[in-house]
Amino acid sequence: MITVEHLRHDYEGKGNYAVDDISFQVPPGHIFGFLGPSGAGKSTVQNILTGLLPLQEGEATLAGQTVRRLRPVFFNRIGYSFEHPNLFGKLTALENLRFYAGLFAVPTLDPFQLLERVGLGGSAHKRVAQYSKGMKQRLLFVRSIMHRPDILFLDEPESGLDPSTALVIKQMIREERDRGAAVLLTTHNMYAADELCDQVAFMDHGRILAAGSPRQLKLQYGESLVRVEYRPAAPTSAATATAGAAGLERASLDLARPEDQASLNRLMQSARIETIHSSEASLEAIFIKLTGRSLSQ
Amino acid sequence: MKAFSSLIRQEALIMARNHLFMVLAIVLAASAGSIHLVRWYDASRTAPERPAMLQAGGHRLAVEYLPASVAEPPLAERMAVALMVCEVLILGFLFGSVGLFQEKEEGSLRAYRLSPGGQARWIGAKLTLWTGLSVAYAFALLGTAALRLDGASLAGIALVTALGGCLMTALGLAISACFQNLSQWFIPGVGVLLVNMLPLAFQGATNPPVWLWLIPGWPALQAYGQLLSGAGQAAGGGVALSWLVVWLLAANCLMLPTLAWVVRRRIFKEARS
Repeated sequence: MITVEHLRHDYEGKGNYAVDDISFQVPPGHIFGFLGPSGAGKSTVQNILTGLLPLQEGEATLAGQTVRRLRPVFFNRIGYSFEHPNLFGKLTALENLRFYAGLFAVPTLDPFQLLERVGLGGSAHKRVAQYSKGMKQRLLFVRSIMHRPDILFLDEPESGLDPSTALVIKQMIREERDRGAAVLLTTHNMYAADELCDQVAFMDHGRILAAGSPRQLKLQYGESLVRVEYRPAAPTSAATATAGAAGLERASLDLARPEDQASLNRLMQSARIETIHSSEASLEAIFIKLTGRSLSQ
Repeated sequence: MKAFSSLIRQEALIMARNHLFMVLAIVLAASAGSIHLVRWYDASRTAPERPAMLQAGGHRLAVEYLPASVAEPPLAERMAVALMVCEVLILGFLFGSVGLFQEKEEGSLRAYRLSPGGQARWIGAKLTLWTGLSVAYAFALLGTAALRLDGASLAGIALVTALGGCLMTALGLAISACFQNLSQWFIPGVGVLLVNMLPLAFQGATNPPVWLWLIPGWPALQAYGQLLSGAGQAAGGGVALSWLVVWLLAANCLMLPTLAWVVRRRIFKEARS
């Protein structure tokens, strides 16, 4: 369990808070996603929770243990994968994993099998300095889970990965969740967050703007729109001009408005509808709505 | 123990891939047959037999005894052993620092901080590896001449090298921990090395200045001189070998807690990452 209460952090001590009064919980067997653009304060939170930065204000605990005094032995229960690779470039992937496995006082998974699982079996004996960014990312990820941690910090785990490898990594993250690990996922990839996370929090300028399950947020902040494509009642030159390539007309109908509800009813009774889709808000759209800027900014 | 041996293995592997052992092999090859120790002795005293035997055997370590009345030998001859001694002692200072900066640059040090390894093992592994390498390197430099030294002298050389190597490695790590990268470290680091070389200028001097005792290389240099030319013999009324060892031991006792404090503040508990 990760518990954070009223966390604040000021790098310069001048009242410019990089993290400003944030609170959240990640129970075991849950994936919590931090969504926000660069500089939002996501990494600062992660660094405080792992003890890389001192806890200035508020309280944060990992499995009931305050992060103010994390003893080395406690790191047997923590796994992390940061966005920037921190591996021994002069060592091979296998040597890197064997070295870290040697540091843990708990049983670890077979390094070679882990490398094979993420498609690095063939490069296991290659020095990490020769790895591409995506290969390093995969190696970092398997290093983070090799000791089966109770708490897992993942910072942009999909960064630099091709779609098929990203699928494997996502599956492995779900397996960690299902095993009972509390996972804190930091990303600005809304699709990854949407697919993986049980809960997400939007973060900007050090504050959590909104938090909840992706579905709950979409329902809360999205519009109940229905997008309809339909055949025109009578083909006229004007209708053809506004129709799509297939000669269909399109409409976005807000189900909260009575007149749009009536229009939808009429269209359905006329049997002219070709396609109909509910229009949920994406996490990206919600973030833009909340902040006025994009996640990638 | 598993974590400790894992750390030593990793450090040794990285240094091997940094071509450290190739560099040492070149130094060893270049120094073959060139180690020549010159000492003065009081004409009223008998020169020990063992060094003479070494000389007669034509081994790489030649010890030449000159009566006190003989004029000072050429500087290059006097410095041969001194240089050897300094290379041995600064092994950990130099390469330990390089390794530390490499870990900082790669971020692997940051990764280690989030492992159960801990600070004590990190320091201990580095000191153990570099001290061990210093001792091995010292005997490699002595070569076959080491076979002709008695057990006490061999043990003395191992002890002095271990204490001196540990001290210099700890000093090197403590200094390196205060800098972000090799470029920032270069001038201060080389400055410390230059100061540590100052004793070379006073090797064999009858009245060396007292401030030399503040420099780690000085007692080690004195001890080596005595061990190689006759165990425990203090040349020219010099300090007894046992006191030199005590000096090195005491310096280590001061340096190691200092290193632990600096590493904790500058590496393991840094305020910003």
